Amino acid sequence: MVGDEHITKLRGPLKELKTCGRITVSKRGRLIVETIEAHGGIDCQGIIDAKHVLSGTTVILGPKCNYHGDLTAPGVVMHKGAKVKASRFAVPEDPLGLTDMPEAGESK
Amino acid sequence: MAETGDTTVVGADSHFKGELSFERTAKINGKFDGKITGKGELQVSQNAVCKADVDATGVQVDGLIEGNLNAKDTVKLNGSGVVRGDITAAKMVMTEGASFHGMCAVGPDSGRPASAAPAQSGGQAGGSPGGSPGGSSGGSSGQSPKK
Repeated sequence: MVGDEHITKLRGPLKELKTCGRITVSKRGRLIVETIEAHGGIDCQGIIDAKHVLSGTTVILGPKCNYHGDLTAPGVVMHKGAKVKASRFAVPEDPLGLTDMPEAGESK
Repeated sequence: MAETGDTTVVGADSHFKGELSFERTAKINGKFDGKITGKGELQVSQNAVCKADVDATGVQVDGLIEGNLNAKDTVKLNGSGVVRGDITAAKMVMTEGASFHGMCAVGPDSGRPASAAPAQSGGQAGGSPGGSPGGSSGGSSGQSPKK
């Protein structure tokens, strides 16, 4: 797991990319990998092609992005123009489970 | 069911079961069970519950939709919107806070059958070409050809 790294160009096959930081795929960037895990979130303005994508915070899909991969994230912001190739999205209503929390002062 | 100007409205205190088709704009404020087909825009208000397969030009979701959603133009999934089902649309806007469980296919070619879409070039990350990765939470899964 990588904490903070700036990859400008990396050639060759990559099976997984895991970071506790944030992944940014810029306008002409292309990320093709089997598994992506980014606990700091994902900002995609270019191309992401993956099988499984897990994000710890909101995923941003920019207006010119091309996205493919099963996505699990607490939130997604998709801009008009983003293209998504058949992928399964799991964006829960209450990612923190706050609805099950007892109210302040309420005892169990 | 009321009609205000060009908009067909299902009121907040009403529960509609059946099939609805509209020409311009329809707004669901209450509960709806069945199927919705329209040439215009469908608006699902914040507290509305819509258990239906929707086929329209545009869809704006502030409430809950349980069913598959097919839009020729834009799907707008706003902050309070919840969709449990598959979305197929030419364009889609999703705001933070919105919830979505299901398959998603967005793009100008997403509604077309696979044979009509232009051939895909470039490398894939080992995924099955055009195949749906696993099941879906809302009925028919994957990028199925237009019925």
